[in-house]
Amino acid sequence: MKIAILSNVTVDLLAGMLAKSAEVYLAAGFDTWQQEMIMPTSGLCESRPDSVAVLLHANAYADAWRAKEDGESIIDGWLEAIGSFSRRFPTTPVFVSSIDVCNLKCRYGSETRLDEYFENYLVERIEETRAKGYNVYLLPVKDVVAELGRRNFYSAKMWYYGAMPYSMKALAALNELIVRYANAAKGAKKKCLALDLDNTLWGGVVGEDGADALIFADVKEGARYKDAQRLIKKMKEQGVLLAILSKNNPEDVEQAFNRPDMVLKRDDFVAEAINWEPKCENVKRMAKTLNLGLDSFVFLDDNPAEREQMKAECPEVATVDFPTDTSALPETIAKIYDDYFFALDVTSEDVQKTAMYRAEKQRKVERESAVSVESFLQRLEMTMEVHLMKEDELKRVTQLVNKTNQFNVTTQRYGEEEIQRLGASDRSDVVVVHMADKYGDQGLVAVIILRYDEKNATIDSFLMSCRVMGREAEMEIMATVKKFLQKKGIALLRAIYRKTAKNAPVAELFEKFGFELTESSDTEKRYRINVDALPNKTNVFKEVVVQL
Amino acid sequence: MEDFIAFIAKVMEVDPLELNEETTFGKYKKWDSVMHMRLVMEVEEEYDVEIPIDEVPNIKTLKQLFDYAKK
Repeated sequence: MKIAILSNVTVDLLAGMLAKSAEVYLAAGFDTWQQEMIMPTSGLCESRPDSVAVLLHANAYADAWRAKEDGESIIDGWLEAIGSFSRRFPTTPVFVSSIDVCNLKCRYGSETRLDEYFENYLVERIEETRAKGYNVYLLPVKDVVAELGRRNFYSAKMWYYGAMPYSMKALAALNELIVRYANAAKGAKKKCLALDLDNTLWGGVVGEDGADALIFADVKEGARYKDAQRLIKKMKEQGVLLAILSKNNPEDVEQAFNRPDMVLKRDDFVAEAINWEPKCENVKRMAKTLNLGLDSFVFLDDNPAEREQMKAECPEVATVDFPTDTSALPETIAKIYDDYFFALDVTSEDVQKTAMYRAEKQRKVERESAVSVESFLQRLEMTMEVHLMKEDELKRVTQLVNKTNQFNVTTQRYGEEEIQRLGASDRSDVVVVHMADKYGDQGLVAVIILRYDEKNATIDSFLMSCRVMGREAEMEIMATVKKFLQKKGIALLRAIYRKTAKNAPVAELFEKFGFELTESSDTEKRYRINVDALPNKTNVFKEVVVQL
Repeated sequence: MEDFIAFIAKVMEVDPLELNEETTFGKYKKWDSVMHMRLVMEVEEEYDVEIPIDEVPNIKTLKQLFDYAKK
């Protein structure tokens, strides 16, 4: 990962800290950041970073903030420089800091608050730029200032001595913030938050105190739990899956969730284990049902014994420290989001994720009652759409390429820019697959990247969301690839399986398709097949629309 | 002084054996102008002292920095 750091002040110390997490590009010279963004031959443009962080210290333009027009024109100038870079590198995210205008002092009582005006003006201009399609995000530096307070955030001495305005505390917080944003641009994160109930989502023990006596309200003691639930609900709406891990009687829990003031509802959870078995056994079972790895889970429980057991038995699960003072519970939840689930964008797939997982569970129930797999799959009335990646699918494809672990033959990760290049090149194609059935739309669920040389093609990547595993989708997809390659006049297809800790489900995939094994080692298998020998269409899909 | 050297070594991320009282700003490779700022801030915080801005450029050796830390 390569981060470029640009600023109008000295940020060498920050660059040094960032270098522990990533390769860092730091522009030469002082306050050259706008030139770096505008000039196509600048070090920035030539270093091709994965993301760019622009850290702006408002005081460096002290005279600009005294009049509206002056300040606006400074900010407009920033956005022009950023826009110029962003147009040239549309897939490189640029994180632009919010500003803290703090030099307007000696103020009289009725003086206009120009500081807040400019801070908002910058935020609005960044949002406006984003809305026009630029890959530009607000880096919430002003939030850090507010959290730490100006007295702790700034070092007047270092500012006047070395044009470096930040304290060590501020540098540490800025480092963490930038790394979090840069990591989010790569898309790796956890998927499911597994929650205890009693004294975690509400105060009290429902089985003993009864649902009506739970500590849960809008003010005072109950509000810490209600606020915590509000945050968890928001996470769920942004694509975080929720699960219940509770030692309780299901009827008691039912009572608690029946309270009309409860923020979280039963159907906000994709899975629940309400019983007296060890929680680590429950989470393992849950991982299996949901087709997730154990390392996709984050666990929150007020009981230290439960946490210790989880850490010992399921070290892959991220077990979070519960605050000893529960007034910090909402803050703990917010930190869980930042640490484990933070994302730059929320796609429509993310919003519907819980609904999709719940529908999948429903399908499983039906599968168990179906006579044969084939008739079960036919009853799902599945449809498939296969086409070359479109521009508005780039983000979702990048997300899938970087987070799919199980059904992934090479586990080759690519950034947004590389994927766009692969899609645009005539030596490669990025094929995407959408699926839906009578229970709902699964969205973009599979990606195949093909590379060509002469009369041959190679499967560079083949990955599929675990949501649609076990539905013969891979067979159907391979059949469309077959037709596509035949049309292109390609006779031979090569493939590679690279073993990882997670991708055992596809270890025999190419054998299943009829490929011939040409080389094999502990970590890798190589295959080839004549395109004509690839599998034909299945008969389980109701409709398959191919535009290749 | 030993504790002080150990603390400075931690900040600079070097072996304490590489440092002594005479280690000099500008001569010792790790102690450049960027590290200088960091050292001043870290010493101020760790030892709860204030090093006046006009003194910052006058600090040339670890001994001189240590004299501020003791105050």
